[in-house]
Amino acid sequence: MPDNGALPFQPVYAADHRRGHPAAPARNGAEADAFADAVTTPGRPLAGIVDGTGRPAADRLDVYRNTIVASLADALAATFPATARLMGEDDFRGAAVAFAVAVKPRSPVLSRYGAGFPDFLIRSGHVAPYVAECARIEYARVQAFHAADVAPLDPGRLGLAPGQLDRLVLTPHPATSFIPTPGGGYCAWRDGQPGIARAVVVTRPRMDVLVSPLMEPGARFARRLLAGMPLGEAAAVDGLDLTKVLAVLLSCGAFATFP
Amino acid sequence: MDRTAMLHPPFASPIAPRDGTAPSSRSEDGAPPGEWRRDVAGTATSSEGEAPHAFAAASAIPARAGVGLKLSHVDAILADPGRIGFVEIHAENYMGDGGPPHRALAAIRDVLPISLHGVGLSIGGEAPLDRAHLARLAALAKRYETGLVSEHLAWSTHDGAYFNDLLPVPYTEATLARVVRHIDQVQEAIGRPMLLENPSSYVAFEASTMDETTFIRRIVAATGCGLILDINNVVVSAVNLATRPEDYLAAFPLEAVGEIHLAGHAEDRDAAGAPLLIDTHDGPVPTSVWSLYETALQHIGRPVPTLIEWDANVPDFATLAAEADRAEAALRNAGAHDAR
Repeated sequence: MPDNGALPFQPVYAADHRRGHPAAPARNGAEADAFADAVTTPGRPLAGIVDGTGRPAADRLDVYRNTIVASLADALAATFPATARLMGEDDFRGAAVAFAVAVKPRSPVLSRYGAGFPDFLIRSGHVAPYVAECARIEYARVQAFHAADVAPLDPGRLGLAPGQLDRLVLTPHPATSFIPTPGGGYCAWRDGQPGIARAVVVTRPRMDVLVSPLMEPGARFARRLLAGMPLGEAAAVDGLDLTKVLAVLLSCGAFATFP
Repeated sequence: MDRTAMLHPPFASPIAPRDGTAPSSRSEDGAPPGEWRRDVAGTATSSEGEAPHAFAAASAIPARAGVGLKLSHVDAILADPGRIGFVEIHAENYMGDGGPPHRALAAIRDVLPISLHGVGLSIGGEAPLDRAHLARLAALAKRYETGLVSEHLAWSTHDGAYFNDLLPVPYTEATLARVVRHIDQVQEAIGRPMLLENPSSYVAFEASTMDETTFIRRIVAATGCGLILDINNVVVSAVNLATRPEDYLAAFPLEAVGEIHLAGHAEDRDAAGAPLLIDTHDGPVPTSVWSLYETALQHIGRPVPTLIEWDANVPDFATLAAEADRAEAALRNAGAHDAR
């Protein structure tokens, strides 16, 4: 976990806090519904919650409310550090808390939490497209980090006859993602400033996660090839330096080996 | 008091790759360097062999002190594995398909036994256990021949949403039946007894019809599971619910304890001004916890595998290992008493 202790915690729901929501109805067999509702709704009273002496103590549910939101926001901070630098720590924390309030993980495996965070940032209207692109690169890096260990395609395997080569369909490596960055997200991720790369391929051929930038028309070719288009058809792109782009994709381990 | 830094773990957190672009890396747990890396095939081969389903495998956890594994400590641990007796992992951090986390874990497993500690199974939940998640847990236990498999007396998932926190259950007959059913299911999946950890409590339910130790004792009787006695949770709950930790220990089914957890906590107050301790795992084990640990070992009368949990503001390995040394000293004392 990153140390966020120095950051101001600004819950987006502060205005609602302790305003006195109606108590959640207590239905038979629905204690968990009521409890779940209470710990995800600041200030919502919950009957039957006491301290050790029998005194009503529903205010203590704040301990759970805080952990749920802050730990999920911390999880996002661990996945999206460059995005946080681009936005500034305070703005990022606000966005992460808002996302944590709005979107709960569907699994306890938190490496997959935040898939929707880049789009959430764009929908907020407060960030430039390159910020969301940077976030997509970071999410793809985490997925690549945890992806299956598969040998990347050895370029020597491509020594096929021209007719076979045209029809060849390559399988992306399990770690590989193609991320368009028309807004300049690659350089924003790398340098903190938007730049001209049109897309990146995120890969992990062995243990290190790689982010390889692509310009047009190579980006278009890579997108088509990684989407499963046969090599000949994918390469039908004006101005493509096929040898050069294919060398980039092979050297970064974008494809899985084939039988 | 600002509770920003006062989360009460263990909750899951993603292990992210090293933030290679950062001016100064903020991640304490990024991708580790390469000395301990082995090739992919080696990892797969060593992990897919037949795993014993016996409780006392070669991988059994010794009655020594262990630490919660952080990727940033892997090199230091591999350089001197005998410094600690075992490592414990949060299962959810190793549920990806491959990559550096599994590479690191395989290297660790070659030199130390691993204890598997789940935080997300939601054993106290109203819904049936997530079968896919249980299968992932069982697969990890098998792959790394983990000496222990443990989970919490808590729930964390509701209506498919995961809250990343350990939420409390009321101690009623209905909850008991549910928890027993779920533990039976876990033990069937892993093919051996699991350990269940006592919770840190911040509230009590008026609906409860029995106390926590009775509830836990009945779970043990019904399922045959073992227990993690989390000493810090005992201290935290006792302060928060105005009870005496010594009374809790006296009533706890100590004969079923297979592991002890030690950690630090933070101090807060509730709206009425009553003291409220938060189970933060963010610092050294405090005196109150060490003291109760020694008492517990005396009552138990045998050394028990003991984990130092330090999950936030994680220190360097030397600091963590010094905490483990202190626990080992107490364990040696317990062993000496045991021998007499």
